Amino acid sequence: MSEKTFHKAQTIRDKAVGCPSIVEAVQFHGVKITKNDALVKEVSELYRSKNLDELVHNSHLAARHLQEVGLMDHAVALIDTAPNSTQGYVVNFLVREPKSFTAGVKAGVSTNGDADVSLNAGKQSVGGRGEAISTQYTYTVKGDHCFNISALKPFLGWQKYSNVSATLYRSLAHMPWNQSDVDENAAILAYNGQLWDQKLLHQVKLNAIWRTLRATRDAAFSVREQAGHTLKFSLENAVAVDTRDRPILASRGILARFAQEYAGVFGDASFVKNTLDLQAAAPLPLGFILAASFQAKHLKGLGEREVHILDRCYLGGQQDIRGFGLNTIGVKADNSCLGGGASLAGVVHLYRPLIPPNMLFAHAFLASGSVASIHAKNVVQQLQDTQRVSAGFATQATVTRDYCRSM
Amino acid sequence: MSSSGVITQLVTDALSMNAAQDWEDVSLFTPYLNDQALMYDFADCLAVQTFLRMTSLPFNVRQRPNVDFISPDGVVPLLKINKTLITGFNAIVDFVHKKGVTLTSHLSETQVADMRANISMIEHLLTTVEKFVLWKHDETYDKVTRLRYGSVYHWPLSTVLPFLKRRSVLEELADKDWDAKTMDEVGEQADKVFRALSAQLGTQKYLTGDLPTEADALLFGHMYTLITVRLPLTNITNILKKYSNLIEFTKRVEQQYFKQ
Repeated sequence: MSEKTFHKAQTIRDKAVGCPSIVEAVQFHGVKITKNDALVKEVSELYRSKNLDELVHNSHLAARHLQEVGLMDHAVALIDTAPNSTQGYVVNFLVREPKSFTAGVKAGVSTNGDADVSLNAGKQSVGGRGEAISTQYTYTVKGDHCFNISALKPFLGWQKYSNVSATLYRSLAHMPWNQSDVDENAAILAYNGQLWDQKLLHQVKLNAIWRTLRATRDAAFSVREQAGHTLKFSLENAVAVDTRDRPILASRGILARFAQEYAGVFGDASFVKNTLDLQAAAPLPLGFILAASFQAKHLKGLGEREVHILDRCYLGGQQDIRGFGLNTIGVKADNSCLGGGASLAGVVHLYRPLIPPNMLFAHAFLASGSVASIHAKNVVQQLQDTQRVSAGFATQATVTRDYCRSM
Repeated sequence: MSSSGVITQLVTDALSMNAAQDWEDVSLFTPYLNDQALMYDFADCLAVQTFLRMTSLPFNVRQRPNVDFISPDGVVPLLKINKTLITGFNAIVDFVHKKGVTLTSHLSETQVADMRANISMIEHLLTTVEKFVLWKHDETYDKVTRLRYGSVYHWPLSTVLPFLKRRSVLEELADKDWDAKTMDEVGEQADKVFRALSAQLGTQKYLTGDLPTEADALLFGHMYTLITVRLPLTNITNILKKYSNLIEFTKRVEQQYFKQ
């Protein structure tokens, strides 16, 4: 192929609609471990391309999809004419398969403002069908640890973006808002997919978590009373529309997400929790970005026992109401926060990227929120009456240091 | 003479008022006594209740599945007075003493020392015997300990947590060089304790005479537990039955403090 010259797709884009095409062959160059049936699923749609323009477009989609589902590290489609045929084409994919093993170190700042370091190792496309295994160990300067191992299997096929995954994790964390420590051992099964013509993101999760809450000396008795081992089995279902250009500090687009968690068939926890998240961002003149977010949570206990302190609604901190300590809004006993049965939060942000543009931002915000007690008789009234507000201006940096090495 | 008597009276009044004032909203947190508490925890919870009844101080018993976690140091039972938490038999007795309420004011120093020795023997030797039977003896573990300890948890924790606890208790026994003991040797240890206590009690009403002390409360807690407990292994109870004055003592205390 080296003696041939290939041109970029733009050269004939939108000019070849009337040019009929027959795909005679699809060839892969650089495949060692990827299974044949996986490749067939990924590219069989190419044979349905009616004209050259469609073929060019579809080949590009196929190459991108190969990378996005984790089958390939890199993939480029080259379209060649077939010998002995005027309408025949051969699609060649030049691919690079994932490295056999990857490992890395990453240092950063978590959403709570703690410095953390994580070590990770993983293997992509373990069985040649895009299956991925990854492990991660994270620790923060405050002494929190988390070990996590997960396996993911994508469903292959034309423009399919769905997968199932299984995760096991163990974490030890300090919770300063209620002066206690929690150990968690969890197993989580998840399905990610789409609904309604791929417009709606859909996630289903099955959680089994063994939690051990240990109150410190400073904890209020109402926290201490809840200490010990509890088991939570829950089913979570979430649907979302996401048109944002990026997940963090989006400059345009909206996110609407509704999630429901039901716990109660097995285990100690029994409740229904509904969470609604709305976010919108729009660019303004002079490089400013206006963003707004709204979050509502509601929790209803189903058993005789009150909902466990670990399952309640919390508010406060950088991810919602800035200016308050993490999870510190709402009902308190002594110096411990007890969480609530419902919460509301609304925030308006104004950003202006500084130099360098994707790392440093000027940021102004106005936030308001409230948490209603788990025992509140009139939740709406209490949410109105306990409204807390914060406003501020800051220069914000998003910094992470990455060190990655492939082996 | 009379003036000093008045002052003593004033001080005593002030102290008792103070103690009464602070002694409000007192709760004793225990495990579920019928279904969860293990022999030695049951005995300690009963001992504290007996002691508080002997002092006539009012309290409520609150049974919780997670008292070992509510307790700051994992020791049960837990006494809560306002925001003060006191755990374990000895600390509770000391606390009550600091409040000016004591059962030992009629005793000489020697008698107090004897009483302390009795408490120490029950706490160290008898509790270890009870732990040995519950955690080391396989049949007892399978039929009683595992089920009671796991009763407040759902599966799989009801299996995992007794297993982990057994491991740590067996380590504790090994640290005391008790892991290689046979059941007969453990029975001898129990016999030694019972014999000493039985001799001390003699024909008296209580260990130190006609008035009860905290040692009597602790003794009653353990004796009552050993007499009433249902275990696959009956040797310890059978040894205890040889000492009829201990059995009589237990019946007497039960009658006086729990059947009125």
